[in-house]
Amino acid sequence: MLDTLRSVTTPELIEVQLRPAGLLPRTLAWLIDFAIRLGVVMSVGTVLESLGDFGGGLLLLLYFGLEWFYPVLFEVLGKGATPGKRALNLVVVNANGTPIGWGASMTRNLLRTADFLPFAYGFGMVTMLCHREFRRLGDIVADTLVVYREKQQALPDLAEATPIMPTAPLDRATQRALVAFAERARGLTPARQEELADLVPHLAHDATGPQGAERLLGLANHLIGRRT
Amino acid sequence: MELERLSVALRPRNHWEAIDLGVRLGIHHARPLYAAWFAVTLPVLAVLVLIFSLWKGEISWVSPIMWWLKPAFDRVAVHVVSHSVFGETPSVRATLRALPGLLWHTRLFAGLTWGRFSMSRSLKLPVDVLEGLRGRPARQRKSLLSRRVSSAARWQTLVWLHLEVILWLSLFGLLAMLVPSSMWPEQGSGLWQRLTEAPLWLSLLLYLPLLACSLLLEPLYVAGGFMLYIKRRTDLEAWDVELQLRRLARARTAEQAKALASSFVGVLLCLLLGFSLAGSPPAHASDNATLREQAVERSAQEIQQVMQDPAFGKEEQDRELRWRKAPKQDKKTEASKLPDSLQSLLNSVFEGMKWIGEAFATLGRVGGWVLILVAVALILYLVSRFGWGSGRGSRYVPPAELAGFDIRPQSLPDDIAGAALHLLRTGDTRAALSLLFRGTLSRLAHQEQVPFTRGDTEGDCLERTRKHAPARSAFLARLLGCWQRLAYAHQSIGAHEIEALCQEWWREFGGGTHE
Repeated sequence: MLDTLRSVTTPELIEVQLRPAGLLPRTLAWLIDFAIRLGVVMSVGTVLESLGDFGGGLLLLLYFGLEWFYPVLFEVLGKGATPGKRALNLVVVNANGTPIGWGASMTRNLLRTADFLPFAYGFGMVTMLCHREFRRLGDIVADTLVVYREKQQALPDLAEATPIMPTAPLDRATQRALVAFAERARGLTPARQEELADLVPHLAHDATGPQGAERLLGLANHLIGRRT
Repeated sequence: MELERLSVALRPRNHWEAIDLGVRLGIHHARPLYAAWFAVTLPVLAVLVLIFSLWKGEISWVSPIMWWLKPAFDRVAVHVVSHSVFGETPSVRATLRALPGLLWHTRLFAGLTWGRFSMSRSLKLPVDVLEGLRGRPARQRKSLLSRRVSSAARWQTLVWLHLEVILWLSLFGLLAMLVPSSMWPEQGSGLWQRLTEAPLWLSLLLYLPLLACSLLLEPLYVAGGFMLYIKRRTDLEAWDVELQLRRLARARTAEQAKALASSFVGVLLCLLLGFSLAGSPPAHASDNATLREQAVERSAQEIQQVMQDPAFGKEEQDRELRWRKAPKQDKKTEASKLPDSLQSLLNSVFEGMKWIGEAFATLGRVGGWVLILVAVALILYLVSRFGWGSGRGSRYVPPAELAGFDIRPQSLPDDIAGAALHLLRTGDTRAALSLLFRGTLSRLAHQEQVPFTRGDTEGDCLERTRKHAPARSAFLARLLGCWQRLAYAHQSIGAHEIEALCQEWWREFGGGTHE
């Protein structure tokens, strides 16, 4: 099965799935960061211009600092995301899912130079396209990963129906399927709901059509703890 | 369509993830995808290059034409990708055979004219190619499919366009670095002239990377759009739920088959159960149906009641603060009208700033030199204090303890073999042998300069001796063998053997009197 996930097992044998982010969102995030840096350099530059050569020197220092430490500072102190990454909902983490530290962040950002070669991030682009977890050279060396931020999930918004108690114990796969069905039911047409319910006559108690779908919803409502 | 043959995992994912998965899919099936892709594009490209190089002597028109023809090529890519997703990757020959159908019945004319500039063409392409709808239903279908994901589709088109150009710049930069500067054409004329009147090799150098980039990235773009389409349909039709339910049903039938095979009683029970079940549901169903009908009848009234609630059909007024536009202009004219006093003030402020800046610059320059001097002085001090490369290349200092033995010479008697013989005569074989071994290691370390390190085991010592003092290694091996037999294997060693070793020790390391 082809998917973009990376599974990480914690020492407690809990499997965590990270969702690595690909070339496109990362390009957009980089563009936002680039625009921010450009804006800062240009606005500060117009002010520093009045200070003559001294201002020029300060501007060069500022440019140096922004170029090398802007991503590092934001990644380590800003919970793994530069403003651009935050806008695109991305986070930099270590390959095992832990928050990134100074060493890894410095490494991956110093190696931007390698990704930039031969010009305009050519190598970085090609490695990200070919790598199965969309890492660029800096990520490979520092063993880091850019992943989508996990959103705080609200409780599943289940379609309401009269709860029905199952006549026999349901195994975990069945429970999961029923709840998934009820979660998605609001976005489905009634005809599609009935079609889906017809796939599992044993759960629908051989009721077909609207009654079948209604029965599945009732079972799901019972499963999440709603009672009449 | 058999969802169970899908080779990608179905789960609710956001649209960026869908595009990423498309890229993964394209790379995963790179071989068949690019084979079919180049089998169609390269002949077209070759023909175009031939025509333009013969006709005009330069090929700058080829890349725009290839760019314009992309929707036609995309149909090939989407054909391969969509079949690969269901695990039936078409061969190049099969794709070429399907080509007329792909070009004829898929609204190619629209795709090459007004549809060429559609930003979400990657999302709409699968509708044209795979669903085969026409006219109004097709339009409705496209608007339904692109409702939630059209912004992602637009961004993907925009970003891929730029990525193509960026990769081209990168590749061209690499090639341009390799061309000697004397070969570049004269500077001076306008950019456009230079581009169109360039010699053929230069246009090849310029446009072939561009063509390569756009041809290489396009299938991935198509795959990204295709996965967006799959994601949208998964959301709309709950494909992932359907898969789960199908698996449940299959597991159920497998279980039932097992039960049937296991016993006849089971069959009977099943039948009985079937009868009892078949008996009851229709009653249920009819009950539910009448209830439903009643509810439908009542609904009109209920809707009326609900609509009378003041929450519906009420007018609301929103107020918010906004900048006025007119006064702003006034201010501007005023500002430009008040020059004299303000202008001179501003000028003096700027002068002051400049002066402050120069002062700081001088300070900074002096400070910088001071910093450099301090750094140099520090380095000189450190070098003089610790020496240049001290600790490396200097004399080897043997460790005080090795393999559990104290090997400092001062801890040993002068005549080691003699002392060992003495111990042997008092009956302490173990002490004698250990003294002999310790003495040997000490001599090897201090006289022969064998580079033992602190953590060496007895075996390591032997290895090092073999390497650095091979003449002594045979003796050490014999001694070590005796010592290991005594200390670890707890065998008794004959006194004559130890005496022989002592004799040999004198021969090896000198000193002592031969008895």
